[in-house]
Amino acid sequence: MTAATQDPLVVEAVFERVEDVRAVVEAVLESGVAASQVEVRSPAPLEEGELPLPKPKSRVLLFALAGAVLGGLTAFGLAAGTALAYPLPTGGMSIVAGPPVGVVTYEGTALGLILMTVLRVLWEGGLLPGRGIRSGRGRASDLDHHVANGRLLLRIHGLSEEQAGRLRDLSRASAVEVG
Amino acid sequence: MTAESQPSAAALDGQLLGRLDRRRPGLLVGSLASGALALVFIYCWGYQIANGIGVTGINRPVFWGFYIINFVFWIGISHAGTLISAILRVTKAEWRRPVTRSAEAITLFALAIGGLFPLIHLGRVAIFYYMIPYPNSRMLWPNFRSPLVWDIAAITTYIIGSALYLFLPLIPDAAVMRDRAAAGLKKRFYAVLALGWRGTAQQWHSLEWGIRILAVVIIPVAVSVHTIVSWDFAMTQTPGWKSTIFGPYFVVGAIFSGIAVLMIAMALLRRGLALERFLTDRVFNNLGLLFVTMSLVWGYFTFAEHLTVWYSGDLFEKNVHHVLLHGDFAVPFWTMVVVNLVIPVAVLSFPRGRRPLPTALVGCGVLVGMWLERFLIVVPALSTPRLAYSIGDYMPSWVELGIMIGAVGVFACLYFTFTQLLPIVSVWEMREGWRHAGSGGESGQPSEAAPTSAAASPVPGGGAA
Repeated sequence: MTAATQDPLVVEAVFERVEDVRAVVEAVLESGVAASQVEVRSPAPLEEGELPLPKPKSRVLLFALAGAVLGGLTAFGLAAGTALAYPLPTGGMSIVAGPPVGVVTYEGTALGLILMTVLRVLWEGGLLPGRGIRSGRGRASDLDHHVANGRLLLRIHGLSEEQAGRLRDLSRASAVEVG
Repeated sequence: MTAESQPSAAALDGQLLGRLDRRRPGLLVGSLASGALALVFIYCWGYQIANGIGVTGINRPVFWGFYIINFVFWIGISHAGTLISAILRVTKAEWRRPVTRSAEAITLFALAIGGLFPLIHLGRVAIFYYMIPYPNSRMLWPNFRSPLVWDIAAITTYIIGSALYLFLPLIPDAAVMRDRAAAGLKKRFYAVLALGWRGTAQQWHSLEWGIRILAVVIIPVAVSVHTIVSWDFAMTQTPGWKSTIFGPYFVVGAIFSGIAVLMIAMALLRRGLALERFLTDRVFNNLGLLFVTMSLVWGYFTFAEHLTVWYSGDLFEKNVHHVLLHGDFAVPFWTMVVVNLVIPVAVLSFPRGRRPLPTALVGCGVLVGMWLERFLIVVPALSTPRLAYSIGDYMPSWVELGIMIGAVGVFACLYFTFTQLLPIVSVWEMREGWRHAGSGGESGQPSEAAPTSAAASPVPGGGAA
């Protein structure tokens, strides 16, 4: 394990194993640090319950459905509106023909859903320009390369001097290496 | 593969990411060769733009020639990736992990090329925008009743969806590349792709939701794309085209040819990048089983299509049917049956046949067969019209041949370039796979001997066949 400090109010530690992170996070939470101050960066998604931290929330599905409705309505309006605006001779058949409007609406629905899903994922992950880097969360760290190499990075921010010192010692206690 | 022989995470990183750090002569040669072919494509298309569509062999009554054949062919190949990858993700097949990235890249590049062919076929490329729904100076919109406009809607949706479906799972790996790269142009390139990814719990959670939703949505979109392509034919009254099963027939053919390309690409990557530990025999065995299944389904549809035409007794339909089975097109027809049905079933039904080399060779044959299938759909029907005096022939010109061969070069060039720039096997999904396996997941490889750290992850789904 490698522990390092970039800032007096932030403690960062690199771990080899999820079990080590869990032990430190449990101790950190018991010491009175709020869960919202703890951030774990991992090279792959962790299973629910692997760490004693609240599960992140996501509204991707909701936005996806909204995107589907929006896309579907737009496509329907485009296809049906065009037929109404420029009626072609149909020999008595419907001006707004069901199958063509249905096909275009189907594709528009899917496109709206896809676009809104991706936008929401990027928004929630703080991956859109000008979004996400607030109060230390998601900020680049000198230790990020450890995550790239398959390790886990624990960041605890918003700490007082005393807390930071204590947590640094706590991290060192289970450290293989201390930086 | 025993647990002891499985590579650690360091080895995994080394094998996957290290490929990008050093140049592989094979990939470089491949890029150069395919780049040269891509130049042929550009030259021939430029020649056609300069001299007009008259330089092709397209003429009355065969107005659809190689360009439309290749359009259908490439759109079919595009079903390799996104559809197969999405189905494997939705069914949570653990062995998908080394396959998905490669498959999704094939989709994107094949779609991009397939989408070019209608533009090439237009001749006057500049008027393409007539098809796009926007009110022009005369306030006229495209006719949404035309299946060709449905094509635009479907292919646009599919190409955007496929690009994003490739891009989303690529973000964490781009971040890995960014954090491993030395400062410079490379690092900036990966930083742009990674969008500031750090691997936080919120990012992973949102990403997993996004991938899950896209995987579900992209399946009906992919099915709709090739169904709509089939309707370009089936919505007409042309003998040989007017068929109620063309939609599913095209979709099955698309998946079939898509798997063929995937097999070939994976066999080449396995050899060229020494990825034997990731693209294992088990992966080829499973894909081989899927492949032989699709071959049988394709055979069933082909039989059903021709049986009903033969039984109908319709004179014009039977004329087309006759030239296919016994006339001018009998040789390509029966070649198609042999390479698409007889050989795959004969080879892939046996475990020894489902190894990388045999599956790749069968895949090459199937590609030829599926191209012939599209040729046999387009040309015989047009050259055997209802009116006897308008019967005509079709012979492609060198421009059409050049564009067809060049398109293969463009595809290969894009694929080789992608492989050299980005991990062709998803690093984070492999790591995740090990975690599942370690906790008694599907592949169940390392349960006792495996360490639990993310930094020492054996390969998921890495068992032998």
